[in-house]
Amino acid sequence: MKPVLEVRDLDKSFVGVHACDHVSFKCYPGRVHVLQGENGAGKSTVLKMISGLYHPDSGQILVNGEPVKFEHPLDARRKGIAMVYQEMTIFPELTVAQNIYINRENEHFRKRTNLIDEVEMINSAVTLAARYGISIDPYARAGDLPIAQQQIIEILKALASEPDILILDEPTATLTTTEVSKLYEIVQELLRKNKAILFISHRMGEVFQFGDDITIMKDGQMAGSYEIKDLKENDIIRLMVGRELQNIFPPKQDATGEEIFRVENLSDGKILNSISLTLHKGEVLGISALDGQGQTQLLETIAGVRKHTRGKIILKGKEIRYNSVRGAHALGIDYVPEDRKGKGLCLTLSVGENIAMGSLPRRSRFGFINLRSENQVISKYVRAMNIKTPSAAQLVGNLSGGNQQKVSIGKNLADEPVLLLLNEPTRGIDVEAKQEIYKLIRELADQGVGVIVYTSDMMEVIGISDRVLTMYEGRLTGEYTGDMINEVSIMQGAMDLNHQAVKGEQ
Amino acid sequence: MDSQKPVKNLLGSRHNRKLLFSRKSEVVFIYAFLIVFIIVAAILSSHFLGLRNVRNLFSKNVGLLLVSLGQMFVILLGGVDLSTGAVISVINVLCVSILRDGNTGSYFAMLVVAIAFGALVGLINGLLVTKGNIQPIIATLATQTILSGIALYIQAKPGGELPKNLCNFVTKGWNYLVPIIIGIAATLVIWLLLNRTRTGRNILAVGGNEQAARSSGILVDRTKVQAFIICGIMSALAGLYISAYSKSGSPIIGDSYSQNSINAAVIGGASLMGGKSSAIGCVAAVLIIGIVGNILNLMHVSSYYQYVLTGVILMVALTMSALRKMKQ
Amino acid sequence: MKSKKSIQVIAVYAIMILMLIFGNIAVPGFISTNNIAVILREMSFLGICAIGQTLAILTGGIDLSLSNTLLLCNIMSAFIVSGSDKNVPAALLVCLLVSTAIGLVNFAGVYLLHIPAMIMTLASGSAVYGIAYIYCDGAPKGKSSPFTSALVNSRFLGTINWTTVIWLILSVVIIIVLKYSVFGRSVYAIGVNPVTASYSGISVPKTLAVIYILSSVLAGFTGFLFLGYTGTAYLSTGATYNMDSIASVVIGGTSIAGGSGGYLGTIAGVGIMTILTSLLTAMAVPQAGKDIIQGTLIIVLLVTVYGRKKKE
Repeated sequence: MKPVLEVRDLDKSFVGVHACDHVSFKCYPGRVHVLQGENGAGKSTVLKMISGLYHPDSGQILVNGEPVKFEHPLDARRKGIAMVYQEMTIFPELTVAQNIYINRENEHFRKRTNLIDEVEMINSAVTLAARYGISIDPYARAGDLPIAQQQIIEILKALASEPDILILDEPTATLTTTEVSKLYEIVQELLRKNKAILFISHRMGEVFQFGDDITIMKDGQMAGSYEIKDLKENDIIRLMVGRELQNIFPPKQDATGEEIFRVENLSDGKILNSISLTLHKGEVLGISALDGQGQTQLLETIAGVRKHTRGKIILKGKEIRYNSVRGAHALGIDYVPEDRKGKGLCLTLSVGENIAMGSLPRRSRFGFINLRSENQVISKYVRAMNIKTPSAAQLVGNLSGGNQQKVSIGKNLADEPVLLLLNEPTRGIDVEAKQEIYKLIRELADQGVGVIVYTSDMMEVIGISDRVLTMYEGRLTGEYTGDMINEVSIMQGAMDLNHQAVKGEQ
Repeated sequence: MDSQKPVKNLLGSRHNRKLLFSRKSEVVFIYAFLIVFIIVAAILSSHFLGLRNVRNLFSKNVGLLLVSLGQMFVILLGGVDLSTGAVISVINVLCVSILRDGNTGSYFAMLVVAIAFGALVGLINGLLVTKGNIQPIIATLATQTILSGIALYIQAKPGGELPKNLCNFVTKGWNYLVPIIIGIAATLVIWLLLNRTRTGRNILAVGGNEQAARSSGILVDRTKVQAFIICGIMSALAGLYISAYSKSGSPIIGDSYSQNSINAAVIGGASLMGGKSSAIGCVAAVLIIGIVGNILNLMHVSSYYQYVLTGVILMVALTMSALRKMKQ
Repeated sequence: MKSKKSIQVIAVYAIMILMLIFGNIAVPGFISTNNIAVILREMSFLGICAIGQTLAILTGGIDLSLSNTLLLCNIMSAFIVSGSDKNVPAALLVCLLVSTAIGLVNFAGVYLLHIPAMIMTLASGSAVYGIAYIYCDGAPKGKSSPFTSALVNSRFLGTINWTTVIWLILSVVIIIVLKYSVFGRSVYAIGVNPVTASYSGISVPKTLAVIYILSSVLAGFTGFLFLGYTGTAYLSTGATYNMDSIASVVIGGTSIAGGSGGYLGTIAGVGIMTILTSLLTAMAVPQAGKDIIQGTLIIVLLVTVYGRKKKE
């Protein structure tokens, strides 16, 4: 079989970083090629060169055996390459159809006038979507749609160019389970048409579900190209990090101490519906739910970001009242949001400024900051969190995802929390950083800090939690400990099957 | 599965133009606002709906409409063009030096000079923003200062007369049909440019999400420069109309138009966050601003109140659209 | 990154000093003690306004209502003071109340309604402009009192004006506050990412309210000071201050996008703008020439000092 896409000795450096060091691999029609590696391993750089956004310093890209040079994403598109980017590329004020055909309006020009025929464009969009079994309102403003639907627009946008090679850069990061299976169907459809697919995912399950071939990268270099059926999960991890990860999760705690935190009948009048939960000293409480079941609202309500209409919050036996993040901080409740770039960090401020930001009142008098104590805290948490940065003056935006996440957590630790809430603490970061964060979560619990974690990664919930609560439509639907913390039971709770089974019997 | 059903429904009925327009609620909103204004004005003054007054209202505000339609393109990109007023002033004093009564050649020359000059200013603004990496508000502030200087250099004091016949034709011709035709034609051309051409679509895209536009293969810098050039040309054309309306020269004639065109474009639905706008909304906004001035004039109230009212209307329009957005 | 910023600030100060030296060559006596004191006084007016503008721009906002706030307070002070020292406290109080109200309106629009600051302050500024005209019916009345004149014209230790002393004290305070206080940190955090700021326990509304009110109040105070400077009120007072203050802030290295820069650079920006005007006036350049040179200088400065763009 002839490869439809081949990269040979692709090389690219940014200021001071050798992001891509002589990478070569081949993609074949009718097969999914997975590009795997830790964050910062250079995967996105490779893909952006293939899609024409970056220019390689040296090396070759061959399409159908013939070398090509892309000055611009349009050149790549002309050669049949389309890419779905990791970052959203939606235009919120344009309609779905206008988004799908952005920068290819010429396909819908009226004859003679060269003006866009919107009706024609909408019909094409519907036809295109239907071809892949997708239902989407072509008139809707893209900005009004939920994020998962926006991701579907991204994919349709790429499909609109009828690509021979489709590049998917972490397309499932924002998708719900249903949409991931939809994506799987789309991929199968494309494979039937003998198209080639290049795929990045951080979810190991998907690598095995989707992939045929795999190229693994480490620190900008090739760690090898294989057929996936020849590898096991541990082999891939070993190649990615350069060593075997015996046990990703630290051992759990058996003993449970006294109660430190309790919520009674918490409701917010919108989604949260009479939630009651308790948290004990030394335990890690995991929350598991499908997307959008109120889990973020629950954490944000406890964190003081949102207000509740009914219910009590009790910390260390005393009922507490507050209506702001600052109020929560004063009581020792800290929250690590799921979106580190949008909510957790100021990317153009330094590591130090970010760490200090969450606990300014703690280190100030009469509104002025005690610089010495601030510097001490900053260096303490740069060290404690093992943040890899040349100095605390480095801008956070220049760090890798994993180190950024450590800054985001360190910022909250600097506030000396009694209760730490973590929302998706390991989203989009590499295995090594994940492992460090798991260890940290366990250490905090051991030190007596209350820890509540929500994560959409099932393996993670199972691996780190001493107790798991499931949520569905703003209610708690199940509680699991010990052996009951397994995929099947938790999934049943998260989909509220127990409750529906009861209903069915009636 | 059942998720497939709606697809078939959508496919069953061909999409038509009616569906396309039924989704433009923003424009309906601003026109409702305009109708309220017309009703209030008609109650306040019996002369308001008189033929003479309506003709004056249109004739007077076509200049503001032209420059506002241009301003809209820059506002779509999340910027503002503060140089529009100064472009109008320069064109005005150029009219005094170039136009010769009865000399059709000079009329034609002036039109060419105006378009070329507007495009040049737009090009410079665009290059300062894209290549010079200067924020639009600062870049156009600087060019505005320079252009004011140029206008003063060409003609230091108000004065000079413009060809009467030409001016009357442009602002009152064919029983006041000419200014209305100019207004409608400009709106139509700008509407097509924004909503039915690639350039317009690219501007909407860049205004909505610059990074995304870049990865969609849109030439972002070129698109921005195009928006500034459109704004420059529309300002220059507005300069011609405003000159015809005033029939004389003044190096500061355009001063108020920078702010007023921003007001009109914003009230008309262009959100300063970029990526949203409407040429049709712009027309309503210009009429609203025009009616405020007009009714104060009819009621013999000091024109100072116009500043207050325009400011208040702007704040009310913004508040209402903000509240609507919050509800969603 | 940090060092690049400080090099830029040094560069702007160097340009300011070069302009003084050039001024002295073109107009002998330009840097005499007396003329420097005169320039410093001019700088004080713009400098005080630019404090509010710097803060607003640091948070990613802008204040385009300040020149009209200045105008309104100038007209009202003249009317209330009308030549008598005993009316000064009343005038100050009215200025304070009026400008606080304007600042509150700006804050409400920007924070509560999420209206872009540029548009919100443009709108409120337009309303304030109309109010100023209505207040004096198009013809400002009243005049400065001995105290208000002394504030601007008499000299501290015989060298610099009291206005300058007030400005310098305010400058030192604002530089220290921006650098070492919780408020200062909040300003920068909000400028970079207001969502992160609020998730970090920073009170975004309180900080923004302080900034927009402070900006209006300082503009109003400048309007009060102007009374002593011009002796009476004029309808053209402060008309260029919106744009001059923005130009000063940006020349001083504060990014319009918010979150980086500071008042130290703004001082140099104020210096450059003021020295240029003063020099061109001394050289008897007509208004047309002044405009063209000023606009060109702003562009040249911004492109050469800050214009290098990062790619990819």
